[in-house]
Amino acid sequence: MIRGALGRFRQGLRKTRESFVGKLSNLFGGRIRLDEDTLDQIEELLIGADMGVKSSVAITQNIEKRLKEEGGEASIESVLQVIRADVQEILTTAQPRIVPLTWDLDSDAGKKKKKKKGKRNDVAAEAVEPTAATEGPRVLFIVGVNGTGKTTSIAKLAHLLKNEGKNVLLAAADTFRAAAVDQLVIWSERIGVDCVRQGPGSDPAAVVFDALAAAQARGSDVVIVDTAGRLHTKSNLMDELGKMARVIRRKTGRDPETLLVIDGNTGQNGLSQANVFAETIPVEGLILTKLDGTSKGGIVVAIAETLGLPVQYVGMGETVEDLAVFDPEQFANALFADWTDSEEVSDADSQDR
Amino acid sequence: MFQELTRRLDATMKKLSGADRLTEENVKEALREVRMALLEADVNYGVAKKLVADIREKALGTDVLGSLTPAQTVVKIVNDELVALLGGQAAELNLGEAGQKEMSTVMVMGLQGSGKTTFCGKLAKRLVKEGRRPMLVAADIYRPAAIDQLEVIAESVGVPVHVDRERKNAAQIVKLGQRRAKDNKCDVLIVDTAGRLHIDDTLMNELKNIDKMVSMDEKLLVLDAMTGQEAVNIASEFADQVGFDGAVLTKLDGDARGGAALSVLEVTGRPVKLVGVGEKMEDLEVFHPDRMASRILGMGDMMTLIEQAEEKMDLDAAENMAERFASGQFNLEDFQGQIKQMKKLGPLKGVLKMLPGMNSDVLDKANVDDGQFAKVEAIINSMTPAERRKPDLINGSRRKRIARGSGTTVSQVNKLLKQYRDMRSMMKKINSAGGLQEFGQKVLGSQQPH
Repeated sequence: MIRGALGRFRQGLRKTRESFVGKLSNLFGGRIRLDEDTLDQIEELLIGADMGVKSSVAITQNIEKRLKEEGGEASIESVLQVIRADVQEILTTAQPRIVPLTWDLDSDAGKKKKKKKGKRNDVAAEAVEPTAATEGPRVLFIVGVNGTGKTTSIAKLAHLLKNEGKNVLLAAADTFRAAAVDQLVIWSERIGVDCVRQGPGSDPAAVVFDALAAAQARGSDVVIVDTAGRLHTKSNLMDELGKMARVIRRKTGRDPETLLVIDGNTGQNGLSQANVFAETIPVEGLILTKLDGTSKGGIVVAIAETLGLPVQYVGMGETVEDLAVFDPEQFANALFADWTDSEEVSDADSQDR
Repeated sequence: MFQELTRRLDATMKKLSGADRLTEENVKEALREVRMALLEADVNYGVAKKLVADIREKALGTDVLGSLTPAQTVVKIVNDELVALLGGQAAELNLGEAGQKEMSTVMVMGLQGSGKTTFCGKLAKRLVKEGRRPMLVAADIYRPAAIDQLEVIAESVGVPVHVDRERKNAAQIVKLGQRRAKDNKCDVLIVDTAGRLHIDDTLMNELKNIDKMVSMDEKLLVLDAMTGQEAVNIASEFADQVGFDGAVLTKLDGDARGGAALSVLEVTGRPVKLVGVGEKMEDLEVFHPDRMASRILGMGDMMTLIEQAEEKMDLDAAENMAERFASGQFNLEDFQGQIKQMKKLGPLKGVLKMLPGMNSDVLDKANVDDGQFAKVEAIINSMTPAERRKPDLINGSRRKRIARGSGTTVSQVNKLLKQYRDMRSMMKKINSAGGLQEFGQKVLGSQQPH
């Protein structure tokens, strides 16, 4: 499946290869000379993959060093090696280092405070004491801005986990967008997993609470929670997310495994998204979607570098099979596939199919 | 204006303070900063390159005017160039006059998740407001529950929708929808198509077929404002294969700079016509090139704020209140009204963000909390009308009652009352020191966009 995924990825890239200013070989004819123009062009190619100004500048500086070491001239292959190695390094070593601003405060100390005040809208969260043990189902908490592909990714994840023999339960906690619940229910029927739902407009935290109770009763292995898309700039909606995450923590005794879904077409705003989500709830990693187009998804390099968030899965199509575990090497190769010889790529494509 | 870019340029151009003319030498660093700013705003690197070259040409030999610094001069050139590029003026939809006999057709297309269905609802609502009779057609036969979503949205904006769960041919569905719309005497047909990748030949052909079967007056490409460098490929593929008359930029209520708008224009020559700015059905605005230029360059959006204020706030009430403020007679009832007006503008953070110089860093530090509003409102709501009108009435036992009623503490009630008294005495001082107008000018003077 991984090879198929790469093939699909490259197939997408092939489409725009001609229009892409790309191919280093065309630009520089085999060898690259060290001058400002050349470095500028390399930097532009990196920026063109949405890798962000900062990462692109850093990688370009590495190339400059490399070119100097090799006497002011180097082969394209060695330049590409530097770039791939850098990108791979950034993606492989990424470790979450953003700490949510209020998460710890809100855990134990916050709980007591809330109890005293008896906040009316926190009924679901208050109803049950946290279970001490860390047993019970894994909870995957899927978040992201609008339209990134959360619901579709959840269907794919559920399919993947079900094939691993896991008993999966979905929680339809996007109670805001019209027909979002229906969308998830249809997916759950197609995949053959259960889905816990309430009516539109109901409290998402209550849906989560119900789903966790159902998971305990049914002995589910994994609960995947769908949430409404929300722009990270809307603080009230981000607070709602914190509330849902706390419900999960209280009910299961541990933090949810939060995965942030990033659209592969996203530009520099992806950094801001990742930053704010990770400041609100503990985010473990990313799901990068829509890589079956011509987008390169380079923003995840910038996110991994500045925020330390690793990519865990990549989505590449509309069927439930189109989700793969993220592989930094493969990603780095595909990211610059259209810079190298197109012959080689076409061969790889035909092998894939 | 353009504080962020100006600040960055000021730093690089410090050394040439005193220069009276922009030369190749002294603008080099500045143009690098301009390029970075554009790239960080997701302007396509090719477009940014061309733009910087144009700006260099314009800048060279330009005199630095007496009142401007060299940095400000460069920024002015950048801004002028951006506004010119973005189209100068807001572009209209090709729908003809409201109330005409002929039915117009609009096709809405774009990638998955760009916000097509929501936009269709917003557009329908806007057209109804203009006195038209739109009908929606659900032509997304692929995504699970996409039809349901459009149905729910159509119902919420109160327009008819044509759905067909049997047919698996989008073009046919649209054709039948058109017939039904004519029968129902509708004057605009809005076609919600499935999300598709610009490289998916099968689905791109489907759009061509729909366009062939029902000729479209307005083809709109919906583009997520957060789109990065890909915007160029997306826009040019849609332009080449299906063609479009204008773009719609969605999710502009986030903090994306929206450089993608520039890319679309530069590469396809099609203007951005409308922008989506929120999740509510009325959150659709006409595209303003000058505001977009400001946004891309990291300047706040004062014009939008002012317009929102005009549209959503009750102007008479506001004026009335201003008078009472000026006379130092205002009481807690006015205070309450003021909070209500403020809330109509949306979350405070969003309002503040539109002010120049307010970026997310500043706002995070400022710790803006809408919850404070709610608390203050609760306290005032727990007072009797008499107490609101004459806050001096409120003694110790009344304070206790108010605190209990509002779920706050006596000290919070005290704090509010103290703020009120401080404000009242401040207003009195201003009045004696030369009037509210002058005070207003002092406060606003630093925030004027131009």
